[in-house]
Amino acid sequence: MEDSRITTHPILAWDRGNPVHVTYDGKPVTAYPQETVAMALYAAGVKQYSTSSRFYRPRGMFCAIGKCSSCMMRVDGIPNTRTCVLQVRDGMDVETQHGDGRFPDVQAAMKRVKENDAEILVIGGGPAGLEASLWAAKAGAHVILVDQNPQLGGQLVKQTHKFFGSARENAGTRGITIAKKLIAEVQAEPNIDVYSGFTAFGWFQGSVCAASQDHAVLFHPRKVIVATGAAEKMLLFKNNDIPGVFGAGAAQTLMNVYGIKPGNKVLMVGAGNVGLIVSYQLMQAGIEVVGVIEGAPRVGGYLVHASKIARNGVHILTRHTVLESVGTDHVEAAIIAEVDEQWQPIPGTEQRIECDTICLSAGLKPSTELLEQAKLDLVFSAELGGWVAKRNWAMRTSNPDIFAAGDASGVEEASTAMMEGKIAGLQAAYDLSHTDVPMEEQKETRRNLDDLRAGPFGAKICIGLKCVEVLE
Amino acid sequence: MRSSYDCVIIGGGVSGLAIAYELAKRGYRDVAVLEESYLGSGSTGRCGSGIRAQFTSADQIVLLRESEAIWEHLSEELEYDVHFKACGYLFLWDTPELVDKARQNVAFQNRYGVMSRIIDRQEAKEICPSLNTDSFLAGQWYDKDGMAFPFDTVTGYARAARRQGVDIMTSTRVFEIETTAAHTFTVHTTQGNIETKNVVNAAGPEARGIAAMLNVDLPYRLDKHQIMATEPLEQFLGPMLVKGALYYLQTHRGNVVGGTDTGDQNATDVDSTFEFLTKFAKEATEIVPRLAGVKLMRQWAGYYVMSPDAHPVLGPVDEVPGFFQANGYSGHGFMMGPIVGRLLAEYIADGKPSIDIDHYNFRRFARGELLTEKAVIG
Ligand SMILES: Cc1cc2nc3c(=O)[nH]c(=O)nc-3n(C[C@H](O)[C@H](O)[C@H](O)COP(=O)(O)OP(=O)(O)OC[C@H]3O[C@@H](n4cnc5c(N)ncnc54)[C@H](O)[C@@H]3O)c2cc1C
Ligand SMILES: Cc1cc2nc3c(=O)[nH]c(=O)nc-3n(C[C@H](O)[C@H](O)[C@H](O)COP(=O)(O)OP(=O)(O)OC[C@H]3O[C@@H](n4cnc5c(N)ncnc54)[C@H](O)[C@@H]3O)c2cc1C
Ligand code: FES
Repeated sequence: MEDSRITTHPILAWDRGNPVHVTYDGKPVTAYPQETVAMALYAAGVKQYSTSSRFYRPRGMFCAIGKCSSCMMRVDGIPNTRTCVLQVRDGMDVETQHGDGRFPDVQAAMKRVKENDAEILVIGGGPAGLEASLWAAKAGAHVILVDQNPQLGGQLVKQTHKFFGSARENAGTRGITIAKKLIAEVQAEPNIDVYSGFTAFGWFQGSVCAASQDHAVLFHPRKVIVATGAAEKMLLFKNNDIPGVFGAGAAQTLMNVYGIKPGNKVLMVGAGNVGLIVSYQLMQAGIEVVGVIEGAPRVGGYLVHASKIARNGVHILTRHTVLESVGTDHVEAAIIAEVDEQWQPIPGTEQRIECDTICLSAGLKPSTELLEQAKLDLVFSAELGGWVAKRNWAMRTSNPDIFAAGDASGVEEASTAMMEGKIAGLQAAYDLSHTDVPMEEQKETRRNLDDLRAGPFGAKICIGLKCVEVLE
Repeated sequence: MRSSYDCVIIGGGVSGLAIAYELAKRGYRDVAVLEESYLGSGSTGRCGSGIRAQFTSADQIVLLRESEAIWEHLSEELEYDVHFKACGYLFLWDTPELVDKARQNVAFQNRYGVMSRIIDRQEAKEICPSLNTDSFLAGQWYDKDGMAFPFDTVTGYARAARRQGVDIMTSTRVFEIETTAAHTFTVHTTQGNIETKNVVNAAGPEARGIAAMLNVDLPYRLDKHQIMATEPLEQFLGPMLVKGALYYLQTHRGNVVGGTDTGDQNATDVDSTFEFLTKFAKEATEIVPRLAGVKLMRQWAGYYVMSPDAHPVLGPVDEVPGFFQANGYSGHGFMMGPIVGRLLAEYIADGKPSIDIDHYNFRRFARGELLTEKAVIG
């Protein structure tokens, strides 16, 4: 059977452990314990997980972090299971889902919902949530941290490049190194309980329910910090839903977290930092990048990243967009075209690019579902990626017991996410009357955050923050 | 929106839109529907979408029998698929006393042409294969009962009404109504004033407030009812299942939709609670155990507008000529939409409805002539 697992990489190494076996549509598939179901299948060459419910169109992975439901399959008799965030278990029975899922043919055990009086509940274990948990715990508060992925770290666990951002905070360090350090600190902290593989899905009069594949817990926290990150935006073009069309971050998850090649010939759409960085990392993993296209007249990301990939012979075509992905069950090519000032395709400029993967890096949208359920005041800010919660300098929303931090409070970057998490974590502990809260740390962090945003790339963020931040 | 109409209908739910459509169909086209939010944003868009004629009062049985006759062909009539499906209603009775009572109700319903019947557990299992037959003693079954999709129903009525010249205004809130010396009304809305001869109060949970603008006191209580939808699945369920306050069905989209009672009378909010979820899950899986592996997708709530006798108020108000009521459905207004639309339109356009609805008049409360209905569920 095909195996697209990467074995040699200039920066990364994967200790995969001993193989386990799952059954896929009756056939045995080899998997490794750290992998999720979707990843193990992908490595074995399975790229289609289901067909859509109305038109039976093929569906593959898109976000790879549990946010889009494109990867749903039937697992151990349970339909509509998000396989990209479900860790494999030896003997698991996985089936392709055709159209709507079939009614479970086994009776799942009804388990009693556990209840938990959390002091501070942190939702999301990316850089923002990790920092929030750490600082709240250091200040003496008891913290529960839930994350829907099997491992902590959020987007940070796949960032192999050296960080841009603040000189004081981690610039020059690789994202994965920062993630490792933060995760280890969280795990060593006795005041933090971690619930990995739990999705927080419902807000009920101040209580929050989170569930894994077979358990539910109802938390009754006194303070909540929402650090749910962001989801990649889809672009509108013909046939954009077939397997082989990925979010750029998803491609990064495949190759950097799981060591699996997302494809062999990749077209990158979008030349912001994410598009450029992922393109470079694809090349590091030995994958051919057939081109990077960008609708704007100029490359959006940092010049260092752009020149790195240009040096390696990859063209960045500005003023170009993707019109169509060619293929029935999987991407076989892309049709791209030049656009005019209004971003309209110019007839006659279409060209076909041979590729098996199209990565979209068209920006991110804050994951605000829980903030909406909590009935907070939200505003739309194009600069921050979409709808975001109104908040004050301490990341406190219109509900005094709810904080938002990181990309969930406006799409920015990991350095700022960490600072926001820290500010929120300290504030939540302080609000709960813990006595040894280092509030001078918070002040210092606020100053650093302001400094960081004073740079040229912070200008856009500052415009967004003007309509989001409530002055006190 | 113009500044005068023959008839102004307040409320863009199933009632208001069905009345508008039926008026236009009769050539009475100088009609405006005013909706403060979007069409279906009130109870209609929140409802369980069940349609049944198995009631316990003769009035409701007849009304719903006629309503079902319209539902059966509504998609063709409106040239829009409202997804009506005669999936049947299966009531599950679990004590000998309840089975006895059900026998009497069935006999009563049969007298009015609603051919419900008592079935044993075996037959119930054939109709709904996933049923746990240990959870009940006998079923009560009527195969002409069914369901339709609320938003498609609203859209279908609205499109058909618009095609015939009705003006339907969304984001238009009525905040005051004045009577004039000439027995007409001035309706004040957030988009300007309208002069009209007739006002129809189809404002759902807000009906009491609208009536108060004309000093009419509708004696309603608002009860919160919660409801949820699961992930969509291939069709497996079959009928609408009802046991006590529990009810659920599977929509054409495959979601299992249903609710149960949480006893929230005189409610002031429509927030979702966790208690509802656990109660529903427990009751629902008692009768269909394999539902335990099905995921919740959405949860929401709405109001039942409870009248003192659980029957709606339909028709004119003696004290205020030209002011018509179509409200107080006590949890059954979706299924009644088509027949209420027809009868109210006949009242307004011709002065006489084809089925006598006089005993549904508002004056019954002052006279102490209450109707009786025991079967208050979805
Ligand atoms: C390709 C790429 C390159 C980047 N490069 C840089 C860089 O060089 N420097 C930099 O500073 N930034 C960079 N960023 C941005 C940075 O990664 C993000 O801004 C940062 O990770 C945001 O942190 P966060 O904690 O807010 O969210 P995330 O890291 O997205 O974490 C959110 C977490 O919440 C969990 N979650 C979401 N919803 C739920 C729920 N309902 N229940 C339970 N858990 C939930 C998710 O599983 C996830 O683990 C890059 C991003 C990408 C995609
Ligand atoms: C959880 C639940 C389940 C239910 N299940 C069923 C069922 O299975 N079967 C069934 O038959 N019934 C059911 N019902 C009852 C049914 O939903 C209602 O009886 C029916 O929808 C009433 O329709 P309507 O058009 O009269 O009112 P609504 O749909 O409430 O419409 C009234 C409209 O008036 C508008 N409005 C209010 N005030 C103003 C104003 N001042 N100006 C302008 N517009 C205004 C509102 O925005 C609203 O859209 C259920 C109800 C609930 C809450
Ligand atoms: S949820 Fe699994 S790919 Fe998006």
